Amino acid sequence: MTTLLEPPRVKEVLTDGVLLHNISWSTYESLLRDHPDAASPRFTYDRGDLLIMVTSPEHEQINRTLNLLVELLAEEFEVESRAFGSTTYKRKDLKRGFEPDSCFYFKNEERMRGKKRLNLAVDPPPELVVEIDITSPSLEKLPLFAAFGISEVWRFDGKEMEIFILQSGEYCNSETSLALPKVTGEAITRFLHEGFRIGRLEWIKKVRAWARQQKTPEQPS
Amino acid sequence: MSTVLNLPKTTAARIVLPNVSWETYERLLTDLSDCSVPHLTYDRGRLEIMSPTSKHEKVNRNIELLVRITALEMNIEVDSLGSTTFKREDIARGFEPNSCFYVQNEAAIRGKEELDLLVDPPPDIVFEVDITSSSIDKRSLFAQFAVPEIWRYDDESIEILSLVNSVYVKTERSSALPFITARVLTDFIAQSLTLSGLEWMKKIRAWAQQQKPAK
Repeated sequence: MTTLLEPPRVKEVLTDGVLLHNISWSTYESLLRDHPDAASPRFTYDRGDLLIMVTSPEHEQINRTLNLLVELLAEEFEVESRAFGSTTYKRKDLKRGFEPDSCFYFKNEERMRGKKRLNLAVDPPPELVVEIDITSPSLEKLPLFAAFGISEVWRFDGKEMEIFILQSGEYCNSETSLALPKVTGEAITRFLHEGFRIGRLEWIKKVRAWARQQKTPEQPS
Repeated sequence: MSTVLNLPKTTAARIVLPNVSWETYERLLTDLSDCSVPHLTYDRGRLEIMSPTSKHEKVNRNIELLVRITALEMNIEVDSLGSTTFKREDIARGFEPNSCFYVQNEAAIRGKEELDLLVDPPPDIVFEVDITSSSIDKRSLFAQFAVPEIWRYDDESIEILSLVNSVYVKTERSSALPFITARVLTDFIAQSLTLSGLEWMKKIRAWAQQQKPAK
């Protein structure tokens, strides 16, 4: 008899964080300089508010699964993609900066190929940002992402994945992804939870099979 | 005032950044200088940012009241410096206690706007709420500053630690305020969480009056 693995109780994933107020831009940059490896801790800065997060192993597990999911789907849908992970994106003119859980370029992928250093005065922002936001946000990230002009945000709250598309400077809920048009929030949620239940190889096969089905839907008999 | 991510008020929030330069530490202190929370502890690159719970804050205020009232009755000069920042760049360390007091060295710092710990003495008593296993060894840190006495609260009881040959040793009686014992502190703090403010303060005052040497 096989035992199903319990899906992780992601609502209890603890990520330590502190929100500080009245922090100057130069202090924020000083902290970034001290922590060149952007994975953890993660700094988000919004006009004086500084959110510092130390992510848990579970948080990173979810992150890696989502990252792999995007790369697999992009490959299956034959969309060029480039992952930029938790790269720091900051703009002094906006007094804002963030380090996403994951982010991707699609249409602008070629422009970003081989880039070692970002210059946001010239380089485009990522087209998709993935955020795992299980503790209810104490710093509103969507307005921040909008300020950078990020076309699409996927936000996972511990239970469900929501897709947001930028329209006229604000995010609207969308059932389907802009970058990967056949992909729905529901499908991502399903695959994310499944990714913690079954073996990785089987999971990859399932993801690919699903993607192929989206490309050529079965004809009704 | 700074806040903590969505944690219930019964949990202290704490993060540790492993690799912070002294320059960044000082910048953060400057930015946060108007707030008494969070508390920053710096130890050779490791920076702990801690926001105490409302219960801890209450215990903190009560410790200060207890010291003030008893010192008044006993006619002892005490200065309470709260969570003032104590730092020394030469040893790459800094801390902000929950509370601290100058007793023996009160006169040495009286009237001083700013303290320079290369010249001025450290507080005679540091009060610390110590409920999580901090990755920063606070005792070693306080020993580096030669803080003579620590009162440590672990959510249940208070213990008194005295610096002896650069190491903290548990003692029953305070050296700075010899009429105070760990037992007395523990009992009074427990009572402060249930009695009314006035009732509690009167109890302390009455107790202190009993401690005065008979004429």
